[in-house]
Formats: sequence, C-alpha cells, structure tokens
Amino acid sequence: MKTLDINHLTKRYSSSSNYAINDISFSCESGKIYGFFGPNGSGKTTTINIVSTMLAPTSGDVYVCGYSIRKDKDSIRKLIGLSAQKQSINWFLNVFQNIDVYSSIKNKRVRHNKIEELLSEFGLLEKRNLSVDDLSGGELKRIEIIRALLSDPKLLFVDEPTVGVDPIGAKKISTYLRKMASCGSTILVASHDLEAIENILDNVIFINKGKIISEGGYSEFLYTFSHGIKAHIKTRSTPNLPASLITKYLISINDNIITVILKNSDNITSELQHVQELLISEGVIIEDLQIESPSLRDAFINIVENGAHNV
Amino acid sequence: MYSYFRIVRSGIEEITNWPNNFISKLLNPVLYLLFLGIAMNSMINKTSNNISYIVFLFPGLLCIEASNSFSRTIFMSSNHLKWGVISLFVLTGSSIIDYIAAMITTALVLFLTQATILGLIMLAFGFAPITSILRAVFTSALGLLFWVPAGLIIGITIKGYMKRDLITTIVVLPLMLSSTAFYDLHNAPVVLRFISYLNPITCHVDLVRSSFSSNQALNRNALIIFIILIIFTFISALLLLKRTDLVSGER
Repeated sequence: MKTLDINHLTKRYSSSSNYAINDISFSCESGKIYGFFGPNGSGKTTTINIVSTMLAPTSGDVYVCGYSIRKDKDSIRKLIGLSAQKQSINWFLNVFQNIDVYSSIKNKRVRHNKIEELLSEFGLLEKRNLSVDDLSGGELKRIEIIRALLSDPKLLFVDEPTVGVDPIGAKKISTYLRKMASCGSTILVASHDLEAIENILDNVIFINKGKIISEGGYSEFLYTFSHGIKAHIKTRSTPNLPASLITKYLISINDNIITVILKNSDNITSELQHVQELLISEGVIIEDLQIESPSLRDAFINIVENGAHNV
Repeated sequence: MYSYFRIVRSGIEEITNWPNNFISKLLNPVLYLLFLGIAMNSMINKTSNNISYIVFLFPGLLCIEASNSFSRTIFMSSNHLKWGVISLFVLTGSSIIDYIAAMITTALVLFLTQATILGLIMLAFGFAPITSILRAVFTSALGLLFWVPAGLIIGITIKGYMKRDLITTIVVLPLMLSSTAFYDLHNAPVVLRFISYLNPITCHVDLVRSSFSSNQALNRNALIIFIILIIFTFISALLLLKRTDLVSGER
C-alpha cells in the first residue's frame, strides 16, 4: 500500500531563479524505511517541508495515504511525524515539557510514563527537568526523535537523525526506526551519516540538483552505483598481473595487495574463484583474501562526483 | 479545544520557567504605582478631572501593562517561528486560531496577575472601590485583543532580530509617552494632542478611565474605535499566519 505518492512536484523560491526541486515524482510503501539521500542543497529538506505541509509547492501534488497536500492538509498532519534537520526546540521549556506539549496535543492518550520510558531508553531521564540550554546537540536531537516516535505516525520524516549522537544512541535510534517500520509506519531518513543508517534501509531515493537520480531497492542501488564488491588479495611479492585479468577487471595494486572490483553481484563466488585461478596460473602466491562489500558512501560519492547516474 | 488549552499551559510554563523574569514583570507595575503614583500624588493635589493622581494613574498603568503584551508577543512569536514551535503545533493538529487564542490567553493570565496585585494595593490604601477596579481591569484586558495580534503581525512578518528590536524600540516608548497614561494632555499644545489622539493607547486609556470612574459614563466613542481596531488586527494576524510559510530560515 502506498503511503506517500509524489507527482511532478516543483518548488521555486521567490528569492531564487533556480528550482529547489524540479518535477520530481516517487512513491513510498508502508512498512519500509527509505534512505532519502543527496548532497547539500539538493532539495531533500524542501521536499520534506512540502510533504509535511510546511511549505507550499510551486506545482505538482503530494498524496499521503490518499490525502492531497493541496486539499487535506489537516488530515495529512494527523498522519505524519517530523524530526527536522533544524531542531524544533522551545528554549523556554524544559526537556520533559518540550516532549509532552506536542505529544499530548497529537495524542491525548500519551501517558507520562511512556515519555519517561523513552527518556530513559535514550539516556535523558535524569535530565527531564533541566533547561534545554544544558543539553548537547546530540541530546537535543534525541528529544526530537522521542517526540517523533511518540506521535505514532503513518509517515515519519527523520532528517539527520544521528547528527551529534554517540554510536550507542545512533544504534538505539536505528533500532526504534526499524521497530516502527515493522509496525507499518513508512519512514524517510535523510542523512549524511551513511554508515549509521545503512543497515536499516529497504529502499533508496537519491536526489541531486532538485531531480530524482535513482529510486529503488537498497541492494540494487548499491550494486548499480557503487564500484561493486572489492576483493583485496595479498600476495607474497609484487606480482606480474596476467593480461586476461587486466582487460576483464578494474584492478589496482598497492605494494603486494591487489584490489579487484567484482561487478557481477549475482555470482561473486565463481567470479572470485576465476580471478584466483588466473593469478595462480601466473605463479602468484596468495597469502590472504579479504572481501569488502559495496558501501553507501561509495555509491554516494560515485553519483555526485562521477555522475554515475549517467552511466 | 484541547490543543488550545495545552498551548496555553505551555505558554504559562514558558513564563514560570524563568522566575526572575516573571517576578520583574510583577514588580514593575507595583513600583510604578507605589513610587510614581504616591510620589506624584504628594506633589499634585488634584488632576484637571479633580481626582487624585494615583486614581488618575491606575487606569493608565493597566493600559500600559496591557500594551506591554505587544513587545512580549513580538519576541515570543518570532522565536516560536524561528525555533519551529508554531510549525510543530500545526503539525500536531492545532489550528492557527488555537495558537493566536492561546497567545492572547497567556498574555491575559500574566496581565490578570499584575492587575490583581495593583488592584489589591488600590483597595488596601482605599484609593478606589472594588467595583471600579473590576470595571477598569475588565476594559483594560480588552486591550490584549488588540496588542497581542498586533505583536503577532510584527513578530511573524519582520525577519531578523535587529529589525524587530528596532521596531519595538521605535514603537513602544513613543506610544507610551505620547499617550494619556501618565498625564493629562488636555492643555498640551495642539500638535501633541493630535499625536496623542492617533495613539491606540490613548484610545484605550480613555475607555478604561471612563469605566473606572463611578461618576463618568463609559466612553462609547473610544469603545467603538477600539473594537474596530481589535477586529482589524485580529483578522490581519489570522490571515497573515495562515499564509505564512511556517519554516523560517532565520538562525
């Protein structure tokens, strides 16, 4: 079931002659976590602000659970949760009040013990009565995440969830997001901290210069846009590489370590075996072999720097 | 309705979380009444209306406290917009009317606390009967319906704290000094009287003073003008907030 459906969405700010987003379309299904990636200024936050009804689009439409942002803003607001990139913190309220006021408006049934449970989970229980002035950036981000989690949304936007958050906190956030998705929520995560969230993603949407570059499954995205799987082969001495290996694979040599990029993700084992046989046939003695999986970071850099989407 | 009450509670928490600031807000009008009022009272026997200065000052002081909600609303609403507080309220299902009404109610709670203290002092010293005090407090509280929406208009539209501070400084003090809150301008030069008549605080003070006096009829002209001002500013604030992008680029 589609939770979010974006159709030909365009936004041009009155202060700029360029389009912040230009005719983008994509959809998201319930129960899945989507990585919403792109370099700074690519249009991620503008898209999130439009979908969360905080900004009016120049043209196009967005449907959340069938409701249009042009006609049914109030219905949409009840369905979404937002942890924005720019922290929404009321600096005149304390930690608990910053969570309680919004959570209780959105859902009157939210009990204080539920808030305290999450405060405890995210290591903020002892700071519940402190001024938010006394909190670090990571702790402020946790307040936002707790607020978003308490709103029990059908569609949740999380912009930079792990900025300033320590690895344990980041892991907890990831676990909670996964738990929410398994309960049927659709989650869109925009982040530059790719390592912290890559293991929870189902799908990836990549935006650059206001245009959607790629939309699809996480693994498919990785194998399409990253360099592929890397095999680091340690040899006894600096080897003479066989011509058949050089012509067939992308290879680099650093001292006695050969790095071979394997592109055929469907049959990595046999491809690797083939590479080893070619090396052994040339008298190369293999001492060690390490496999490096493709990373989101590789794919990101590849798209932005090398224009991999044009390949 | 629940979200309105919840935003009001949050507004009161915003005030009480900062006790020093809250106490100074309560103390200021008391000091004005006790020191300015009693000191001037000993200097001026009777005003041109043939009443003691402290009786003359009390309605003016209530109106000044009501008009202080203007600068406070500018400060709070611009911060609420900048910090994403308004957008969070809207996202959680509150309406813009809830927000405006809650801002007015929060200002009312603060104002009534100040007015109660001032009223008790007036009663304790026997300067005025309780019925006059209650009438004056009620009509001066009407001022919040004008000053809070007016503050919202400035707070939401003017981007940048330096510009807002400038406007607050340029507007608030001249308005206060050119009004009839502290002195009678009946015998002042024509230019001053003309400026004073254009001042909404003067209109409000005339209304409150007429309601405070037991031997004076309610100033209906001032009431009508003030109600027109209230309707105009309230509708303007409502339309403006509904059309404003709730995402601020201000840091």
